[in-house]
Amino acid sequence: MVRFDNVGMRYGSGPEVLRDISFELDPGSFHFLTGASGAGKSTLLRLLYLAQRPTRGLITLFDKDLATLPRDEFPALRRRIGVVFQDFRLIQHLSALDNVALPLKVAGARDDQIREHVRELLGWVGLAEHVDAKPATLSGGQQQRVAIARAVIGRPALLLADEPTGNVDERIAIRLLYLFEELNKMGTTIVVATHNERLISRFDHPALHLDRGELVVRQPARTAAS
Amino acid sequence: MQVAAVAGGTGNLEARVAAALDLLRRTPGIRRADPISAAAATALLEPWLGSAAALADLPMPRLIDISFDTHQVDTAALGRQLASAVPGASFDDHRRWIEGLAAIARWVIMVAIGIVLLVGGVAALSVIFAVRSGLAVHREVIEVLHLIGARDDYIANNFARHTLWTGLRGGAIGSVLALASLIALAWLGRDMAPGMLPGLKLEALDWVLLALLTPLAAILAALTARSTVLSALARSRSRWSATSRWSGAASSTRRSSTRSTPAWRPAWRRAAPRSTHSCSRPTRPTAQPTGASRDPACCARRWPDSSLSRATP
Ligand SMILES: Nc1ncnc2c1ncn2[C@@H]1O[C@H](COP(=O)(O)OP(=O)(O)OP(=O)(O)O)[C@@H](O)[C@H]1O
Ligand SMILES: [Mg+2]
Repeated sequence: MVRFDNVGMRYGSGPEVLRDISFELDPGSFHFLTGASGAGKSTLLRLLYLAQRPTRGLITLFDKDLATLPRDEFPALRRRIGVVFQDFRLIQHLSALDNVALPLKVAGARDDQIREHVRELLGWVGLAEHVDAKPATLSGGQQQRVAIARAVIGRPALLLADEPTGNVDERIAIRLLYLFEELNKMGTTIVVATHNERLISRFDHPALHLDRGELVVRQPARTAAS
Repeated sequence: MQVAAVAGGTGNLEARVAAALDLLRRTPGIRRADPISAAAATALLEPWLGSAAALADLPMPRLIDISFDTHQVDTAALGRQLASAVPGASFDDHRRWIEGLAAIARWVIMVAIGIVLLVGGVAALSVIFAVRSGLAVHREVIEVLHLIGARDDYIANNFARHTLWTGLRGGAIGSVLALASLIALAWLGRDMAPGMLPGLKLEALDWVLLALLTPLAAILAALTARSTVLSALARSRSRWSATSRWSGAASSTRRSSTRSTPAWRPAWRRAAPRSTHSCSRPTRPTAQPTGASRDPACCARRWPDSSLSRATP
């Protein structure tokens, strides 16, 4: 599903933000991505959703070597990846409904095919009353849930969530994590970057831990205990 | 041509007209030379100078209507020949001012075409600049669209659609204004002597062309927008891939890494495979193929039902 071999990454001519990252994610796995602020979590995810090229090393995604993959195959690959951006990146002039529908529209779906589906999902993340609201009129947590809905609407094969529960209370955070777990049960590979230790301990998934740009292995809490 | 009524007193008018006619009819290339009777000439002048009775006393020149082959007759030479042979005769070539008028008309048409082309070019340029700045303004949105998996086509088509509607709307407003000014022109020109200028009447075809102008311009604008977006996106992409090339060092790392570096594999991957077909929440990440977990019986392809109580254990 995902394979990193000695991946290094620097922005411009700055210091290396990621160093010698090597790991492999199996299809259907669920990982947390942890690390202090500035450790490189978002950067690692940016590499995964093809927003950034690594400065060195090899990334294999869906059995494709990204270095040699022609650019016009990127869109098809990206459609199999759902992303919850740390800063949401909702489109301000579109309603919540249209924002969530976007990945389906981009993939060529017709409006009438997707409306109900989108409404249902928005209802599930607790935004049934806000389907027509513009992002600017929503609270941070509500925007975050729109962003999550947009990331999962296409039932991606790979879901990357960058701090997806940073703006919601514990109850909603847990609920959103369960949404991810449901997706995971349906086969989606999931990586969730988060600082929330309580959430991590509540869900029994292994963590990829970044320490100033280097990857440290962490066993799932319960496995380690047993 | 005309033969003046009083010209140095040599011979009478009729004789001089006859001499001129004689000369003209002998000149090769003259197809026809007919004297215009004094009565007919008076009638011609009447609208300008008043009743025929008043004109009768005036010394009127006699006119001879000539038509000739323009290639065979040298009008300048003929004019000199006539002037020397027949006193008081002068040669008046209407073609000169008809040609002048025609030249002006052609020039006006050329200027009009030039203006249309200029306006079209300016419109295309303004579309290009508007789209460019639109691309800059919507950079973030475009990036998100790309990351969501949109092709350049999708983005370009959105710009084209937007431009088409803007163009149609602007064109509709412009058409209303143009119609108003056409009506105003027709109203202003209503008193203009008929025949002095060709009327400002528009034929059915003209109206059809005018009506087509707006949609055609809008479509052209939309196509311009589309190609502008496509080329801008292609340019930014080639810039992007040029600056983030793989360095030589990187490729050597790659070669060695694919063989020797053991990829990090978490220990849990080697745990015994579990069944994920049950509906119970998996306690560990799974290593089984994607398809296996899609058990329709328990994990229907629907969003999990929406009760919070179920979600929160
Ligand atoms: N666009 C950029 N240009 C230059 N440097 C950047 C850029 N984005 C991130 N960095 C640097 O890369 C490093 C890692 O940043 P990153 O955003 O990946 O951290 P993070 O682990 O996601 O942090 P946080 O938990 O606060 O989101 C930081 O030192 C940051 O300064
Ligand atoms: Mg981050």
